[in-house]
Amino acid sequence: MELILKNLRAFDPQTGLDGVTDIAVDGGRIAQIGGEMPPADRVIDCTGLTAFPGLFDMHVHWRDPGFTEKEDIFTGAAAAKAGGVTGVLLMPNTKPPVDSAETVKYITERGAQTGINVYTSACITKGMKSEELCDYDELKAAGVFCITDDGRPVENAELMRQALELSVENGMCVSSHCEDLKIINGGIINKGRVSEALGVKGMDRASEDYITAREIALAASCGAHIHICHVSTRGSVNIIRAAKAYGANVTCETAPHYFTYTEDKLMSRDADYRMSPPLRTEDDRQAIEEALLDGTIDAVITDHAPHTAEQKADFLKAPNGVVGLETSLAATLTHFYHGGKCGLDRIVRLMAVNPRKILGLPPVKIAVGESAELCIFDPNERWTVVPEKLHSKSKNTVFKGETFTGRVKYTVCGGKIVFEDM
Amino acid sequence: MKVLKGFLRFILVVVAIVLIFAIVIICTYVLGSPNTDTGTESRNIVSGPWTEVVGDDPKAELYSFDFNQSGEFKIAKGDKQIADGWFKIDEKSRKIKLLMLPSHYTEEFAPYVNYKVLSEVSFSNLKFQIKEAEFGKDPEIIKDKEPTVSFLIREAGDKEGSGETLVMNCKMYEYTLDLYSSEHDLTRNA
Repeated sequence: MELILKNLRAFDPQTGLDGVTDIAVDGGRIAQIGGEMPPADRVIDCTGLTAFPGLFDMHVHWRDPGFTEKEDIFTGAAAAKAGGVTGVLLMPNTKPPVDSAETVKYITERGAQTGINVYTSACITKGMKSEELCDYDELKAAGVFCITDDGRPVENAELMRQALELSVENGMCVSSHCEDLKIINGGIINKGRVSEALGVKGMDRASEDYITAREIALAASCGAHIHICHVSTRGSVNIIRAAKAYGANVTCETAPHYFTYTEDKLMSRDADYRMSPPLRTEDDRQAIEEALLDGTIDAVITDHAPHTAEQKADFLKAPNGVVGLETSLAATLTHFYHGGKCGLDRIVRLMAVNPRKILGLPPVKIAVGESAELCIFDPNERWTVVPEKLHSKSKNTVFKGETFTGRVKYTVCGGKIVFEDM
Repeated sequence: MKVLKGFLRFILVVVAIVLIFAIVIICTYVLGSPNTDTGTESRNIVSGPWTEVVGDDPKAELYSFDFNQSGEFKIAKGDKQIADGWFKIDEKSRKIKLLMLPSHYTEEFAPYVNYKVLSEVSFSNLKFQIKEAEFGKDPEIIKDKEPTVSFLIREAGDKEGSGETLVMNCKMYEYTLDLYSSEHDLTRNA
């Protein structure tokens, strides 16, 4: 055997597994669970640690190609591994944008060298300009299974409808960044009490709710599936909940900062708290929390969006986005599990099971014969987020100085230990 | 005693004149500074790096103008910055008023500065590449074609026609129009 993990609490609601046991890994697969363990090259005592199936983050920006001063595929992967993430879906707003097989090839070839599963989405429209659809046959042949113009919506609703119609034939997942640019109209934070106090332009919540409703209506008109990115408002939650109740084929995601913080953080005029959609009100935060617990929101993602310290230095001019791969599990465990709001079952589904299901990827399970992809963490270790210690090239975390309970200790992918908390 | 009194009076007058001059400069600069909170529409139009277009000589020291959304500007000749400060746009007369502190421009730029604080740049021929209109539609700006503009800086005292006028034909090479203001970067919002 190559590796034996001893005295580990293995937790996988897909297989009903929940108990302290030993796991043997060999040839990239789980060779044995429990029983008499054979000799192994390496044995790790995992007493007090818990294993989930490797997490999957279906919404990250690694900036490669084009913006590697912010992040590249290898530093992005290092951050993912440190967060227990064994699979990611990259967003296509790179330079050039991912709208050709050539760019897809560049990313997948580099991604294959990282030790985790790196997939890229591609643009819905060429150059993300909302003018002309990409060649989906070419992109699909290159390995793309999800399209999005994330960072902006497809402004032309008819083009979006056509993309959704084509997705029914080509089987691609269509995901949408739901924010109407004309309603946002240059706003930089949530429109309301804080934007008024700071005297800056606000982003009206209607900008998100309107496009969310539009996408659901367009998808329903042609029987397509639509995935709504980074939901942040009560309005969008209500629209999605109602649509699901009526049988619409809609899924959605949110990020830890939306259930942890509110717009009050912006009073510090610190651009590290600026992202798009922005931090909203306490009412919205509560709505996100409820929707995660009742199943309206299907997945927790990070929207990991690195920007350099120089780019984030000016509150008014800084680009939107925060990094999150290394803090996502800790934030979710602290808020929901240790906060007594839900058990581990829901967290595994939100962070490992559902994202793969939404994208049509094979499930990752803790079972004999399955690929060994594990997120092994200490559920009770308390630690404080120090931006300088993050593996990501950029340090623009919204959780700087925050103390969490729950820390990733090992990440296993393809049977190899790809991260070890030293 | 009388001589001493006269001398003191002279010193006081000089100090008062210097003080008034300093107050005028500070007030002009501070009160004349633009609103830096949000960009105005005319600021959006000129915002960005404009680079002079002159022949093919790679060694030519070209002028470049950089106006940003917060109302700040920089002027460089080749790699050397020759002036920076704040600007205001007068759309009617197509003039950009430059406000500078005396330490914020070089001797090379000094002849173009009135009262050691203000200078003016006129802009003309501001052209965006326009796509031919389809029937029943307004013409559209071609989003990724660079606009061009001519900047004119007049030497102080040119009202009598005696000073030199610099004329610089510029292009904004990094131009792509997008709805997220002047930061033309797809990572701007995610």
